[in-house]
Amino acid sequence: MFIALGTYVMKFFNEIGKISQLTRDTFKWMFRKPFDVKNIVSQMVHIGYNSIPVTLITSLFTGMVFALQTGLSLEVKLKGTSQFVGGVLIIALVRELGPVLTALIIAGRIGSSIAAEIGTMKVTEQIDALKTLATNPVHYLSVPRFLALTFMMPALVLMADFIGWIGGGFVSLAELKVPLLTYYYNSQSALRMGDVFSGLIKSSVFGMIIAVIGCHKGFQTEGGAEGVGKSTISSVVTSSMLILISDYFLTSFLNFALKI
Amino acid sequence: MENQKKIKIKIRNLWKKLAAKTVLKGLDLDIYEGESVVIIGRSGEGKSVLLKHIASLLRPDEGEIHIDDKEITSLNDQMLTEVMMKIGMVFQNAALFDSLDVDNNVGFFMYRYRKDLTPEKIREIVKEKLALVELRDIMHLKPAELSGGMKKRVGLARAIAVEPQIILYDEPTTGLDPITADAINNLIINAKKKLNVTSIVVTHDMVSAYKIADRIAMLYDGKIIFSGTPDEIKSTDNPFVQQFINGRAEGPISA
Repeated sequence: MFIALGTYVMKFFNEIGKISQLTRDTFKWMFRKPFDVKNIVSQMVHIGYNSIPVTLITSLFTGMVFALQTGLSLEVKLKGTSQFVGGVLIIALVRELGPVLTALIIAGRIGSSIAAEIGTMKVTEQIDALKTLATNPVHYLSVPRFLALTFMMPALVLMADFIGWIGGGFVSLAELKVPLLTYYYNSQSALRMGDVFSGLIKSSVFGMIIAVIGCHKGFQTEGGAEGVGKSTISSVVTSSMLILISDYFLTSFLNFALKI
Repeated sequence: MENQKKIKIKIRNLWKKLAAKTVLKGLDLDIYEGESVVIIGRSGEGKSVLLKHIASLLRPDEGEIHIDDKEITSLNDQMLTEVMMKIGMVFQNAALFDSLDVDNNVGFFMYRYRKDLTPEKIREIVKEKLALVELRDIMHLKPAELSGGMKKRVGLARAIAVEPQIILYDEPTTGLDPITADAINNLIINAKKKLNVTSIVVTHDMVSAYKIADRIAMLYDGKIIFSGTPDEIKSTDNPFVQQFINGRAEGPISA
């Protein structure tokens, strides 16, 4: 039993070591020529632009249900307090729900596709073929995905925040009879720049996590189609876990750093 | 005669353990400049592993590989790039990049690194390389739209596009019909003649081996147990070699 436990612990730290190495290599290769602008842009389109619909639908309905639940609870506790729903909603959206929900959706949509694509390339020897063409796989595959996710995540989150807030506003108007102007002013007075920064920095870090884990699981793939399937699942599970875990520590660190 | 030729690749005492199995057990092999060596052996015997060591895709546990008198197993990545530029590899299932069309596959290296060439010039070179493997009008197709034989040809075109001195072929005829397989054999012979390259072909297809090889080496139990011309290998009395080249289940090698 101790041996089994030992192997497990060894595996765990081995994995952490490999992930750290991949992260380091990604940063190292990021600044080396050639800069593959075409590839970076196409990844940005794939990762960012094509993810807009699913991200927006998620945040729209999250904002709507959040406004409904919060507004009704406030009203039950104390009549008339539902007018504060805008402030509660925007803080929750900008600081937590926007970044985390978007990151989880993107981990499912993009993290899995990165792991599957690179995993397939690994098992069909395309990674080896890259090396024989004097191309480092981290340079050609990880760097564009890493950059695209790092920059596209905050952009997606900004849109998600906005749409969620709009959705909440209409629900407040329709269900809670809070006038849009009240909703607007209440939101505006609650929101501070620090909240926005904190949310955007977090989104960027979540994007890095999704990219590194997706690439890592892809590169580690062994054993044909079954292996690709395993890598795909494991990339989604691992990155989702890391997003949720790092969220707590990041938030607590950013609260301290940004003094909010 | 071979003694007067220059040794292009010298492999000494190569050991490699993969997972729980020791695949290469102190393998020695010399390959001379400009010759075509076919390495035969059973599936899973480590032929591809040997090829990947020469291509620097794997590092040995022990032993040395010299290419042009330069020891390559201890080089760092940057110095290795220089060596890898001398080598083109044709993979078993072609390993074309799915996301790129034929043009970008064959011209991959040039589009990425040869900034001194205009894209038009590169397209022209790609066309030329495709013509060498007897393909035309497929520049815009994706690998998924090609047949198995075409993929192998494109793979070969991609390998020769870096103008290598050594071409490694990993089971070039496996999985092809006999006619396509023979066409690939001819391409390998042509590539050798026209480009004056050293070729190493890994296969268990004896028809192909006899046709391509200047020399055939047999890999068994992690070592080269025989090496000689096609005529020599046919007339050897080595029971292991005889069993393999005649394809018999009975003999010293257990089936």
